[in-house]
Amino acid sequence: MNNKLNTEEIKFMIPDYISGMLNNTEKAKVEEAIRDSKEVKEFYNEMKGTFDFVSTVKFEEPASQYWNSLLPRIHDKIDSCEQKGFSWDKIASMWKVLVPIAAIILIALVYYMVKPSNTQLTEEKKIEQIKKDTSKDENNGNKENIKQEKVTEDKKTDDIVKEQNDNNTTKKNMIRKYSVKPDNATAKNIIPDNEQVKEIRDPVKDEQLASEIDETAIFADGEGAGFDEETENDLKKLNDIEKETLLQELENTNL
Amino acid sequence: MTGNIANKNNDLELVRRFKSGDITGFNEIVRKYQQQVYWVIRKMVQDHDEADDITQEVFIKVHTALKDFREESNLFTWLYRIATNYSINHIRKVKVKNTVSVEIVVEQIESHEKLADEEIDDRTKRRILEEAIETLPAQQRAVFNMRYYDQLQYDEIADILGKSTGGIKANYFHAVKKIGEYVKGKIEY
Repeated sequence: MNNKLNTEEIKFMIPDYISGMLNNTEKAKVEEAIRDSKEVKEFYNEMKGTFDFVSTVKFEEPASQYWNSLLPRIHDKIDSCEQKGFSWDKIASMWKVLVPIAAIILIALVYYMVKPSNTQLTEEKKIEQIKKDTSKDENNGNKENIKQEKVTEDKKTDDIVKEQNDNNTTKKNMIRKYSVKPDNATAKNIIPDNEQVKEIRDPVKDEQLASEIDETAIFADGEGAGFDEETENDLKKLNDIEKETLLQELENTNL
Repeated sequence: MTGNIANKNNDLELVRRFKSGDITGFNEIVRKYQQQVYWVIRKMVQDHDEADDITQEVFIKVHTALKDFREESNLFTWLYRIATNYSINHIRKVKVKNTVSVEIVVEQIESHEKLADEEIDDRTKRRILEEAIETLPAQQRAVFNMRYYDQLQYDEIADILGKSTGGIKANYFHAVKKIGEYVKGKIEY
């Protein structure tokens, strides 16, 4: 591999060896390779034949007056170019600039012809803007509605709370007004001692019960009581103690 | 050619004279380098009339661009670069035309048997060599001319063409090899 590489390197040097353009060291290497290697020697012979042939070829020299006429002709051309202000070089350099510019203009024209115009674009933008505004308004409207609803709901809640409070107050007043407070002696006789009854006689429960049952209706007269005439007459016949007892019985039966 | 590069001492003075408005600076540059520039181009394009046109274009370009020439650069390398680039551009422009003409000529030559080197006249030799050079890509052609005819160093060629030295060495090697193969197919050494 190394030998082959060296052979290739030597081959590269052979043209310069034949032309006498190598230094002494290189020259010695090539001469050694030509002596030692058949391949290199054959290559050298081929190259030598080529160079011998090329060296024999003589180019036709121009006429002697050619060299004297060259400078005046160059000046003539320079003068004519300067007078006309015209030169193919200028044209060539101009084309280098003009062609890309023309191409850019053409592309731009095609682009604007194919693409929608500015006004169309504006219209589209306007539509988009309107759509955006509408969606914004809707969002805002919804928010306001939600706010209003919330306010209304809050108001309603307040009203209900107030109403409930009022109702409670009214009920409390009603209960206070219409509840029958028996005197201690009567109460002792009537109220049994067992615990169950005590629970039932709990004042809070009494209030609840009072709110559920319109006590006045039991002893009311006429239509307000909701009784027929016969029942009403029977009730009228009862005295206060009997009424209390009846009421007690009714309470015990959860009516 | 190496001698020409070495003889660059007064180039800077010529450039300065031209920049200061003295046209004789430019005239001297043309006289000094016209032959080198012409032959660089001629070996590239092969034809005298084409070489003449391109040589004039190159010096017109030099006249236009010399005011921007940086003085730390080598004037001859700069001229060489312009001449080579103009030649390469010209070759590329007429590539199709040349390909067709080469095909016709190749057919004509192929119809004959291989000729002995001694039997071939100078004109035929020149034509065969021109054909061989025309088979090369523009850059290999430029490298071959610069190295073989003008004996420029690889570094100088690399600088002129803006390529690596290694690449230029490879270009030269392959150019010589291709020319040898082409010529070998036409004549017996």
